[in-house]
Amino acid sequence: METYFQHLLLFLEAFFLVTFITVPSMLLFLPWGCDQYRNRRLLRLFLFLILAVCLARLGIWLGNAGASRRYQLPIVWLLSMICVPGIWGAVKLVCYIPFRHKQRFARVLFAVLVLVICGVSIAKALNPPSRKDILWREIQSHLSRYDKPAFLVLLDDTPWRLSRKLNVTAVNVSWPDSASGIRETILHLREGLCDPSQNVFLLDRKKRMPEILPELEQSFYLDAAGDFSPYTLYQVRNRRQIAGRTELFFPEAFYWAADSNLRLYTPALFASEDARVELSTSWTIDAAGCITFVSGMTQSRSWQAPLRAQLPDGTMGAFVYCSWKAAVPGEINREEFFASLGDAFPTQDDFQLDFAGTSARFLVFSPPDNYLRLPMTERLSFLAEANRTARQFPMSTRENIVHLPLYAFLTPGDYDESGKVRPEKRMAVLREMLFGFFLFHSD
Amino acid sequence: MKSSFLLSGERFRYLIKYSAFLHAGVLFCFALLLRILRMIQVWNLEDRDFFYYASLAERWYAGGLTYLYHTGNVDVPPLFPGILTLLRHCGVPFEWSGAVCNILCGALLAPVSYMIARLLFGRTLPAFLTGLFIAAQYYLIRISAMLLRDSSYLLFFAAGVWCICLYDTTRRQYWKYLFALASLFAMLARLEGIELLALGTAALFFSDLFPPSGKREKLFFLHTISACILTIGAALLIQEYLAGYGSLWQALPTGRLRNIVHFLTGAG
Repeated sequence: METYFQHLLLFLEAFFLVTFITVPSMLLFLPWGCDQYRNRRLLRLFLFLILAVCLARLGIWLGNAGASRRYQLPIVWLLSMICVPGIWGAVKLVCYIPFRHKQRFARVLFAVLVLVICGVSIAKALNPPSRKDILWREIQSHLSRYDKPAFLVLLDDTPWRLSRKLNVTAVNVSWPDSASGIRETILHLREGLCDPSQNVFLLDRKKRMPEILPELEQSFYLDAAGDFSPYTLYQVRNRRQIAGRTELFFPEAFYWAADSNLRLYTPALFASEDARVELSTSWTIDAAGCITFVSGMTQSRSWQAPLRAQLPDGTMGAFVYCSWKAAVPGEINREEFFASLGDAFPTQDDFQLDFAGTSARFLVFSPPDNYLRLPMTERLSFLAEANRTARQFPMSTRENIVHLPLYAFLTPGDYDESGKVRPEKRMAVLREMLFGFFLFHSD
Repeated sequence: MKSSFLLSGERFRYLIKYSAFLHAGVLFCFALLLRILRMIQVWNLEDRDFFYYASLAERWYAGGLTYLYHTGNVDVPPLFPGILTLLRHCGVPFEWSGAVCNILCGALLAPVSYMIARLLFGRTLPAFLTGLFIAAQYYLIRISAMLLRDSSYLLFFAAGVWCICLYDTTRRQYWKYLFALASLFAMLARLEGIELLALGTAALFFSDLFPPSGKREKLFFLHTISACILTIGAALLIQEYLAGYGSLWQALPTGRLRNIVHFLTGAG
């Protein structure tokens, strides 16, 4: 219930902010302004649409646990449509006070109210505050010191709309809590529309950055480029650049959370539009090596079945392929892929899984059952082969594929009596995993 | 002859006669002006999702629609990337085509809303003020100035509602077809457009079943409320499932039928 309450607060916050408080407040006066509607029958039809769309959206909205643009659109428009009679109702209430020239006063008040609301709305849409305007000019002046054109990544709640003052291209990143969302965006910029040699900067509030900085620093060097209170400007440089080319594969897109369970979060999904759903998404590896999908989506049980593929020897392994809004699975030649990997990877029916409507795809299959008994050099060789195979897939530079051998780095001895992975092992696994990927990507 | 008409009082009366279009034109121009101003302000800023749409348009431009949808798992309907691609063939950069499309769609929303309000109110002033409010609404201005597909979706959503209202008023069948066309474009703009199709079809069905005539209209009203409550109830009941898919559209395609069955039966 607490979660739902939080969702309700989110909804109310977005609702009131988006519509300026005017629309809901005007709705209070709607009953008194209903005489404006002459076509009562059509009004009922219209109200039917309003109620059905708004409340159905509300239900979906609550279920999605996040305020997304797609849920606000028709609601705002439909409510705005019935705002004017609400204003008329408010005027009528005021004009219940008896005085001379009441009718004329009511009409004038009505028109003035509507115009004032429109004026305030336009003013808010078009006039930026001057203080932030000055801030932007400072940042622009700072960025002009660099010889190459800059690309600015703005995190949420930065005054992004004031970027008109900047002679830079800027991109807005939502969900600043998620380092992966920022990372994905930077990668996309690097690999896609932006010249890799361009300077990429990150602008954020100071209070936000320290929380996500450690995670982001796994992928990038973040150098403080300027201090513009309350904002900090970071220059972003990739940790791995080979001859000026940004490395595509970033194992850090998966990271280990420091909680009691060994959880592998999938932050690549955070960059999706329904990010709030995936915030709780995680994978746990239990003592038997089974991967359990842990999130609010667990009720959709079809997710669990393919992830619980268990090897004949009782152990469990999985490879996870993940991409954000990428066309990866469709472009993979399945036969070719498995043929290249040999019999070690049995084909599964659940080769492709849809996830939460975000287009993220997980490909889960078992590693060879003798994998854990292989010497480390052979393990690495095996991973290198898988990696090379995966890199043969036709994919655009925008499609950031991460392939990660989850269980490959764990042995049954790595678990304690309670079934949790030993804390000291977690970091070792992480190091090994990172080492493996860096090794393979250095060719 | 023509010039005398332009200078005569007939022209004025002609304009008064078609005042609805005159008002709609004024609202369109006003909304267009606001959105252009807004777009100038945020021109240097590109929304994150626009990069994705631009990448889709790039692929479409390079290999065609078949290449785009058959070689990748694309979950974006083709209208917005299609517009970007089409104008790219004419030499227009993605940013410009996205901006022009969104500004025009956002500006057209005001006159369409005005037309709906005219039907609802039956008089000009409150309808015009409603159109004015839509034109000046901060959120709608902001949406129109973002290089996203929401602006076009909202326009076709409103056009669909307008067609429903017109059909209920005039009882002319072609409004149904135009409603279907608007729904189609809404679906091509955003996946959620199918919700308009579902709800609008229900509204048209009840409008046919219970034409405006005394008691039957009250019955119609009761039925619409019942349908509304059913819709809400269904949405709340299946929200847990919908949460995984984001919208009804994504729940419906056959590829996910297995998941629906699993969810309903609780099978693992």
